[in-house]
Amino acid sequence: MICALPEIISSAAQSRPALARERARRARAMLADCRFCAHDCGVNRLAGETGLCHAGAEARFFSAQVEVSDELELIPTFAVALSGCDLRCDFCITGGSSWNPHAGLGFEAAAMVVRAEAALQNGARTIMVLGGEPTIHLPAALEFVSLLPASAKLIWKTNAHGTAQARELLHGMFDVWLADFKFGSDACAQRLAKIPDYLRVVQENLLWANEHSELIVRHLLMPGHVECCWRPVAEWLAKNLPGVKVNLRAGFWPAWHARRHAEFQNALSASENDFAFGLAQELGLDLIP
Amino acid sequence: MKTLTTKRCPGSSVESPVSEILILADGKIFAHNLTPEMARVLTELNPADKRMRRRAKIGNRVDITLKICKQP
Repeated sequence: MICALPEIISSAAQSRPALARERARRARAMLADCRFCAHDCGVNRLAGETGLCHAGAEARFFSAQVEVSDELELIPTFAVALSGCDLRCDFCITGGSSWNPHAGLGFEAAAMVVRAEAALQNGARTIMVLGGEPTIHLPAALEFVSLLPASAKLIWKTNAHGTAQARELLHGMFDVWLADFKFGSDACAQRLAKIPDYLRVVQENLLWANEHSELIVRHLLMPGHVECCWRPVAEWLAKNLPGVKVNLRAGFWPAWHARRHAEFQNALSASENDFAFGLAQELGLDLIP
Repeated sequence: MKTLTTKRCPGSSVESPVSEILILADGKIFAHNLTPEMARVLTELNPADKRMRRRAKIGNRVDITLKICKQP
């Protein structure tokens, strides 16, 4: 249809910073009826209402530094962690800050860009926006993108629990989606992170991300959850996203409220670890370090 | 378990870089929010760990003058 063309042409012709600026404005207005994550609260964050993430209209960050703990092809990365999250994972390694949108310092995009550009000039390969969960802070994340050089390689580190509305705003903004696929069953997602309908939402996001950007899927192996979580995740990836890069992480530690759950009293066993990596090999997954 | 908290450099308005490590009773070390400096430290601690050595090597690409927080 001809009426759809102007927007497409306009988007293609605009540079990422310009497009991000426009999207940031739209995203900020959308806070009046917030539906960025799949909780779909519809609260007016501009008026002080808060949903399940408890986030207000202004973003805060609890960490911004060069790190080398992510995928080898992405590091060194300048990682900016925004406070607050829409999930409630009891084992969250940064639970205190990830669950609390008031943690850390106020996020000021222009000031953060100065630090990000310094990091790039000094050897960082990428800029990563994470959390908590950055989806709940789309206006701030997009403002940040709007001020970064168009050539910077940008990583969106996400729990993949966003809505179609969020994805529309993110389209073309980040070079790589680094997305978690944490649980292989809705029962585990509900029990460990208080998230309903997890699989449908995450799978929808992963399929979209794979179509619209480069995608790396992460799964953190959890003690006692290899059969119920890793196996279905691995099988789904092999069937639906063949060839996608997968980072299978074995460094689970019992952080935050993990000890509320009996299976998290111990670290991942060697046999669980071996089985999980064997399964990945058997299914032909493209594991990356 | 101590959770990650934002720490400020003395006299500065920015937070200082933070890594977290967990040492299990069997001597196994887990690291989170690994900075280049911490990767170097862990490599010194266990030079046989090829994966950590690789991260430390990649981290060496970052100019150490980038340090945000200058110690007094």
